[in-house]
Amino acid sequence: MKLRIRSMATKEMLRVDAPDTSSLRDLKTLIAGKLSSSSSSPPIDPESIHLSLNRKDELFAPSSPAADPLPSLGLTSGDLLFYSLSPLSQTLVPANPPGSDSFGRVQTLGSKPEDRMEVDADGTAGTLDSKPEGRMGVDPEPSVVVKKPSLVPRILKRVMDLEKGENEGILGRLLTTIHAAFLDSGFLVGRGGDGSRLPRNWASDASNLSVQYALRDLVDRMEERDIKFSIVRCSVMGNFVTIYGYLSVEHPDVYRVCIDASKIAPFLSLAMDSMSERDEKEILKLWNMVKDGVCLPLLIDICAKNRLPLPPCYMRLSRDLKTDILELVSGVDLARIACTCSEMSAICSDDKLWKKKFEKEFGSSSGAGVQGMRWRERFAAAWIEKKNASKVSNRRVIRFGVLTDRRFNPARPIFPVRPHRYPIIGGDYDLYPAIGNLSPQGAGLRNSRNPARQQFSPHCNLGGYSRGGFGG
Amino acid sequence: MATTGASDGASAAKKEGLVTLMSGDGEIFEVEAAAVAALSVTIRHAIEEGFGDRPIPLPIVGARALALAVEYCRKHHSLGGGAGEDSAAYDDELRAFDHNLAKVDRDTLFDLIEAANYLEIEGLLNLMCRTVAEMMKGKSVEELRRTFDVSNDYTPEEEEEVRREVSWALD
Repeated sequence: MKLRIRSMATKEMLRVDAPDTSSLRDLKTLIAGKLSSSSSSPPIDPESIHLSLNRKDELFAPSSPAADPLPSLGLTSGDLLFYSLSPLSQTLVPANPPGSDSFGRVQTLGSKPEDRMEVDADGTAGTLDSKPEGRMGVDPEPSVVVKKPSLVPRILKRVMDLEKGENEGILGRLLTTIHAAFLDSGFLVGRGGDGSRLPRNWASDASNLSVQYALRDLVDRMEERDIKFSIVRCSVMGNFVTIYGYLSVEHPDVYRVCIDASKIAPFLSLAMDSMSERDEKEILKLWNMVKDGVCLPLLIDICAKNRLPLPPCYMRLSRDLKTDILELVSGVDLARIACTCSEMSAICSDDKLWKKKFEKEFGSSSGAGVQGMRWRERFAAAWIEKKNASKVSNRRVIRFGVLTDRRFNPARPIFPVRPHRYPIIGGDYDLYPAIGNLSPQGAGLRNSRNPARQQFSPHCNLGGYSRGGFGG
Repeated sequence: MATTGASDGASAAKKEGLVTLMSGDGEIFEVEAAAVAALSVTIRHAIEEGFGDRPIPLPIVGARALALAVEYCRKHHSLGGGAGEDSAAYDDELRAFDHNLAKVDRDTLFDLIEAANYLEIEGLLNLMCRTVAEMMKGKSVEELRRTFDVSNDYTPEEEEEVRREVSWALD
């Protein structure tokens, strides 16, 4: 196979022609040979070459670099590979934890397991599951489609057409929409249906519909004991349609969305072609609710239980991308994200990230914390300090605010000035009547120079009143 | 047309102004070369390298994400960088387009992030990363796990420990 190899550092391009049977190690040797012959620099050790398809994740051979032929790594003729002589910034450790390595990420590059249906394919593209399965390069006759995405996913329209005759009434159309969302996530109908179609005559008992969905790779093997599939049920209570989804395992997590059919009826009954943008937005809302609430969690569960690589989700992003996103969140959010799982904790403990958060939040010159402390700790210290400081300054604001009010605002009822401050109506005194009992002697307690008494000072800051001339 | 970067090897593509992209799941897209080359570094390089007359294989980009990415390039190419009196109106339209694009479901959202990263469409990648960051804002640990499908792999003791470390952020 012919491969294009581009240097990540210099963007310089090499072309190599490696036999299909050659392994990753052979390929690296070939590249090293080409590099050494084209430059005057000392020969390059093949082992120091790091290859990547997406310049993020290094290409690994699942079993051994000398054995696996290149096509098994997802490489085909014409592919563009990136090489670097220094280790890639990350994933030198394979992205998957040991134990699940037979499903290492690299293998999936060419053929995504969820092998989803195209969203926007032209309506003429034939039945949904006629989509070519092959990866690039071996694909016989791909159909040419020029895309024009609208707000509503095209797959919805096609499924509506496919289920014509069955999808009568609001419930029928709603269930068809949900079915389309499942197809869009990569699910196919198992027993009783045929791939993309719901079971025959489903509409006759739509309110008790139960469909078994599985992924493309699993759908034919659903009889096997260790294959887990997902079950989606519908239940109707008055106007409310609840969709439950769970996996065929013991004690599954159940995901559900509840839809108020009366609210969606007006736009769901419209023909797909004649929708205004507002109707489309409503449909999209429903679509996203179903996909985020049921389809995606089920997809993740089914992949995890059948030991398939994860579907698109945050956790599947490369570490670099995860970090890119984390750079955009605030320090407090970052701290919470670190608590979600051990992998996120590891990524969030990167002190460079915390340094940036610190500088963004407190400025680079802020001296909170001690030099030599980790940035994360410095951030925490500065955060707490800031929080306390804001409490103090709030107190001051109240004090002066009250003074100003009482002195200069004629609209506010002015309380008679008393020699003792009781009873005072309003403010903290009303909120915390117990405060009033603290000090039978009145002014004596309000001596702000008496530190021993200060701990009795509540939020209202009694000292302020004293200085303001209230009985002081 | 602003194919500044694709001056040499793009002659074949320029004849018709179209370039053919092939998604990882084997679907073919014919798109305006100028629009995608202006925004996607990866495709620009592929065109420079003489892929103008053959389909450009994009092994890790699915058809759904590719369709959206292409639409993004088209829109930003035709409206972006516009000067003169229309530029404010264009900006508004682009903002509205981006805003709508960011409303995709999570599944598509992360698909798009990976696609934008592979295709090196910086604007799209930024847009989508900002969207995710926005989704993370102000959520509790449990909400974060639910929203981002993170499975909790801590033992109760470990979880207590990590929560104690960041107790300042949890109240």
